Amino acid sequence: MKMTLDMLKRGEPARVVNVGGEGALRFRLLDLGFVPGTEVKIIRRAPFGDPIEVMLRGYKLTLRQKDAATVEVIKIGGTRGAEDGGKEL
Amino acid sequence: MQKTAAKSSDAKNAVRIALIGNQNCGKTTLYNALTGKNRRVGNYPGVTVDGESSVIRLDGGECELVDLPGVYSLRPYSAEERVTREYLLRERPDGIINVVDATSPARGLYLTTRVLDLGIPVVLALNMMDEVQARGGRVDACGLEDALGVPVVAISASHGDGTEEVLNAAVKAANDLNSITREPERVGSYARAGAYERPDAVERYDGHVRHGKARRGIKSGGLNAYGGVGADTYSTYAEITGECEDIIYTNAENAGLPPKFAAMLAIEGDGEVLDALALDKNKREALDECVRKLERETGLDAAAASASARYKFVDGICRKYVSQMTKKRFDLDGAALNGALAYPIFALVMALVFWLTFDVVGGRLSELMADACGALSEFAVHLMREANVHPVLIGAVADGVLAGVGAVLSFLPLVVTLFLFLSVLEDTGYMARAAFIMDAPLRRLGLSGKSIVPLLLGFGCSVPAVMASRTLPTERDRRVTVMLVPFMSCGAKIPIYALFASYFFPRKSSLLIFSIYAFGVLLAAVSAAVLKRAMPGSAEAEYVLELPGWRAPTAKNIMRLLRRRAGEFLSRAFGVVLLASVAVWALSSFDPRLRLTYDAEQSILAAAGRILAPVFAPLGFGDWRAASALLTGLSAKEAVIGTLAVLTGEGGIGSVFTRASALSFMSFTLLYTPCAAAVTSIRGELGSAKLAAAALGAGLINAWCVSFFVYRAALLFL
Repeated sequence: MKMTLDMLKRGEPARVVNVGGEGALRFRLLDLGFVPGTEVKIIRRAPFGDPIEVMLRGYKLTLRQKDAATVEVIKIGGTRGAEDGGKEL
Repeated sequence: MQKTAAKSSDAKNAVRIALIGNQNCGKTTLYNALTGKNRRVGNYPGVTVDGESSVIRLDGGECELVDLPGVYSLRPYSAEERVTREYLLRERPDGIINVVDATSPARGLYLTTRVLDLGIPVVLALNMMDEVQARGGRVDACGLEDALGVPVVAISASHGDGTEEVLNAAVKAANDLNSITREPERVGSYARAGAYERPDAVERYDGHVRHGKARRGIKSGGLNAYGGVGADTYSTYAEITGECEDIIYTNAENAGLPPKFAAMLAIEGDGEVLDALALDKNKREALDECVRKLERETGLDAAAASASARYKFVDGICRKYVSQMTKKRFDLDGAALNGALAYPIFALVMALVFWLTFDVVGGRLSELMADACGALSEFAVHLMREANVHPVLIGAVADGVLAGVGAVLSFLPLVVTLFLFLSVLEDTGYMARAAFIMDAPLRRLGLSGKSIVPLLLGFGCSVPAVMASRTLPTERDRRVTVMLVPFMSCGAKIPIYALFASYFFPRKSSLLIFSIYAFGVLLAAVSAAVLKRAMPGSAEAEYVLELPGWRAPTAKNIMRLLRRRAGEFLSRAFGVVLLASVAVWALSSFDPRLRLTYDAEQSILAAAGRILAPVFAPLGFGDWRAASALLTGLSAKEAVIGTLAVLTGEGGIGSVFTRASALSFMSFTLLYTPCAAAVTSIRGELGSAKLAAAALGAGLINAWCVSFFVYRAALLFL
């Protein structure tokens, strides 16, 4: 099964595989740095579970669950956080 | 918009420098530091609502500095981001200061790669270097300079360190270019860009940015700067975009677009750029072939390949020249965004802000101001009587001009205090957190968390609130938010509520006023739910928002803000409200045959009020005096009370209203057409007179119906 950003547990490091979705929002996610290979993790969810706060490339971004679901990710081992720049493989 | 275009023609000989950067990168702080101007700087992404410019005198001439809305790329996402791209392409500044937040440089440098495509001389300002150093990090400015081929200056905009250097560097870069190529036209930018190139930078950077017709031979030079695994995607991208640039080169020149920029966006399928290029069939096919090749070789679609390639380049630079910060930033998110505490904290913060604004600080200052204005007005009347000034003129000055000025000034402290507190919340970064936690509830209404800022500003004054909606990403979000702002009871209506509540419900006046506010919010929610179904387009607003780091608010920013806000409000109020106040005086001092009358009952206003009165009869206040007061409220809400006072004379409002009709009148005041200044800005933001008329018409009908029900219900219970 495909794993998407919204499915990650809090603090679980992962890498972006692909950004799906369409239109302006997809461009925006790409411009914000969601490109294949980028490290990303969920920092927390808002009180109602949506939207979510993620860390990538050393900054914090908040987005909705349904938009996070367009970002396909793959979990990575270890405890290294995404703070260290979100470098490629 | 603060007409940037008009200003630039004033200063034709000045070097024009544009400030470009991500949202919240400190661009506006730099602009303030350089111009000394009181512009609002909030720690909330997207505070620069529109372009703004100032002319600065330098040793060798003048420089026009233009502050543009923050962007993440040159593909516009929201209305305000469009301003940035339009300015860069249409106005073509002579130089660009690209501000990059050094605490998380990757995103900023990604934008830099796009800005470089424009072929305009760029100077990179690495901002917040003081914080980077304090937190144990390091950014090698010289290294970046080598890798990017543009001057890089480390600065701290908030402390004013390095700000002059960066401006001088930008002016120098712009002048250097101008002295080499003095072209009358702005077309032919490629040649200008080529002339600007530093010879030593070509080798390292050519593969990425300066890859065009003239320099095809050195295309892989850029790889040296980063090397490593990412190189393949990157060099493929550089090569293919170079081919595209060749294909569209003449079309781009004809369209007045920078060829490099046009090629990049054509590959990514940007409709506007493709239309402007007007490629013929052969070129279009050649371009499509390039795109297919790019997609085949990278295994990604063109947009993703483009972003990936650029981020690979940026990551390469960052790996080499940026060492990570070791200390964490001061962070309150654990409490402010905690599942159980977030909403109570938000409610508490808002309650505190409103209590301080409307009671403790703003309320008291307003009373003082009102008393002072009253005393001054009396004194002025006294002086004029002594000097035997004609009574009509005394009337015009006292009841027209001075009454208007007094209304504005007495309301000023409230607005300034509210904006001050809200801006402290923005400056610290709390407002972005509020947007994050309020997204879920607002989303159910078809809005997004981002609408929280315009809506809260609406409690102060609708005009800046409506303007603030420009930060929202889609047209639909903007329109819905603009239509909801008038439901947030503005500060000018407080005196009306206060008068009625204290006269008719002296024991429960505070509770009643609070209920009116709550009633407005509730009706906004209902209207939003209706609009969600009625408005075409996607039924859900978009929400993607950066959370900036927490920051202590600085006294400097706050003082600047205070002056600016007060000035903004005063300039609006002294225009519209003063005019309205004099008009109201004239309407109530002359009869329909334009003869001067001392009896308000004979005036034009009274005549209009009598015609309208029957409309309000079902609402319980079918009295010409109430109708006249509402009419004057169309010019400014401050006028309602004044008109009532004049028309009811000794009897006071008790002679016109009952307890039930007072409630009905208060709800009508809450909901009916906002003041002239607000209507003007709503019309402007909706961008369609038809839509604005429909919204205002619906508002009037809504106000009538709701007040009708309030009156009937009040008759039952009171």
